[in-house]
Amino acid sequence: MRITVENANFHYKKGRKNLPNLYVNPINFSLDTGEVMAILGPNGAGKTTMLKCITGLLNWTEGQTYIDGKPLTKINKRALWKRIGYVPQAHKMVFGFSIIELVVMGRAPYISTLAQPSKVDIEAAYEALTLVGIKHLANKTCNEVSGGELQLALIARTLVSDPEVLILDEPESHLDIQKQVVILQTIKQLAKERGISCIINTHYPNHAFYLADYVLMTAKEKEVVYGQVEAIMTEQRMKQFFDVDVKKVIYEENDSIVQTMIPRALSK
Amino acid sequence: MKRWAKIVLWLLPIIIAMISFSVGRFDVSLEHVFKIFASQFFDVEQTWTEMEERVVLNIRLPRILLALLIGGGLSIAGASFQGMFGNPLVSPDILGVSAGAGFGASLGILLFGQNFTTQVMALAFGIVAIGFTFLVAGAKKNAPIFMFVLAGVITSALFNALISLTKFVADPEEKLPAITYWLMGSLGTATYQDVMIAGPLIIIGMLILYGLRWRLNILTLPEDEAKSMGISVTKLKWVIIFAATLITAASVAVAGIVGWVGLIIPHVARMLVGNNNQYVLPVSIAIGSAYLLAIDNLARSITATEIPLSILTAIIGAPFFAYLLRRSRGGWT
Repeated sequence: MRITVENANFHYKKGRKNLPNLYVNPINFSLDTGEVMAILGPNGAGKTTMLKCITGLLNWTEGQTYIDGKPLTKINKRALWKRIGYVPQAHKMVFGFSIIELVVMGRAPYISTLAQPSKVDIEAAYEALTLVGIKHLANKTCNEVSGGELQLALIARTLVSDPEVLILDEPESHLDIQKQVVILQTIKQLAKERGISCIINTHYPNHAFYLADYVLMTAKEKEVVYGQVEAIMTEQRMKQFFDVDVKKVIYEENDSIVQTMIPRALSK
Repeated sequence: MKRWAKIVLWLLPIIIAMISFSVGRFDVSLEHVFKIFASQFFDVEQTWTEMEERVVLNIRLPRILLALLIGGGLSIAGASFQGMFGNPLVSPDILGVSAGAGFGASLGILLFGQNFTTQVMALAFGIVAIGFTFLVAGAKKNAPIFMFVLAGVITSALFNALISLTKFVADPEEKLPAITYWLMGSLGTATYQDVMIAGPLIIIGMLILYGLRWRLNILTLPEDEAKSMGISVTKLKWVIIFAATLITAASVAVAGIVGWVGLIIPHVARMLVGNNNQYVLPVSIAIGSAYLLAIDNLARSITATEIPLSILTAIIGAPFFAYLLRRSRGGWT
């Protein structure tokens, strides 16, 4: 599946007045099957809003998202959400559902309004939990498991509807480094082995290096740039967008070239 | 939940209902109760008096049916609202239905006395109140849920003021006590007509909510997340509000304002079966109907005059809620 955004922009409204556009220039990008795009930017850049607009949770005020060339707004919602999975940041739940109950919810597009999940749906949920490696937690409640495990459960919840695109909103923030690694590896595996395209919001340049084929970088009152990782992620841009001096380091490890960025202020 | 526990749970309202027929000022033995019911279908030798038969069939039966319906109805409405608003402190009257229906009934009593017209007015004003709440919240597509809650507070305040106004102008000898007593909730005047008015509305509301019980789990999530499961969140919320309003307004129309049941019972249900609304909703019906029936039995038997329901539900409910609050320390799950 190919997801394309053309000449898109968004502005909020205050009463009847239109506020200025959130992004300085219109957003354009295109993502094919199994490709990963990272949206990189500091806080307040409008990253979450952008994800919501891409998926139609908010409507672009200009431009449009296309799925295989068809405008997203023309696609039936239930059909659309079988193909797209949205993974929010892990958060505390008011009602502590068990992990399996939470994951089954992802089957909703396949279950008619008055029906209950069937055996097939519950099996799909267990399968998804196995895939992300937390099947043993199925009967724990959401508020008993760690943030990282809950994040994996939220990813599993999107996998049960067999999506072609995953949209992930800072899935690795607020997690310790080991959990971050697990989440990133899981995402990469889904993209490479299952051909699921991913659009992921992140603060961390190194995570973009690890995961992404393309990067869309933006910051408050800065232009939106989009392109291949190497082309976009330069020392000058990091200075310009994040207001931080970084050193880009390239080295070889296990026969592959690894890139990373280190803030110069921390390299003393 | 174990199978036997489920069976016990559903036997509870049935057993209490059977006992309820022999509870009250007028003594009817359980044996006579069974025989009276059996005689409706089979030939049974008459060992009971005509008086006993009238009490059981014409007075106690409609009253027991209403208590079961209203107790179960308010509880499932409360459980549904708590899920939908993602807040366990919500009760079915959060959007102002009870206050509106209460005003309709007060006005009805003031103008026409206690009769059918009064009940229709209670129903109508319950629905008017919800409409008003939506108007205040600005029922645009994406009005956030707290707008509805605040609008409900405003609506309740307004209609409570109007209730006070009807009390203020009411004749203190006759109308004022009728209104006051009625607002505290009672099943003392329950008739088959009441069952025919409220029964179908409450049952329709219950069936709708029961059908949506799994979808309700998804509605407890933040709105964007719920939408990303491909469900029409707004439409679903409207349907749930409609169903809960139907139940609450119909209950107020025939029994006055019965507080606390819709708030407390869902908590008891969640303590027993966890947070999955697939189970919370039916269990709420079972416990709620048994609970209100038991309360009503107390109301009509502990003193010579009937005690209004809301007094008892609060006296029992408030300490229990305090216990829940202490036990959970504000974390409800």
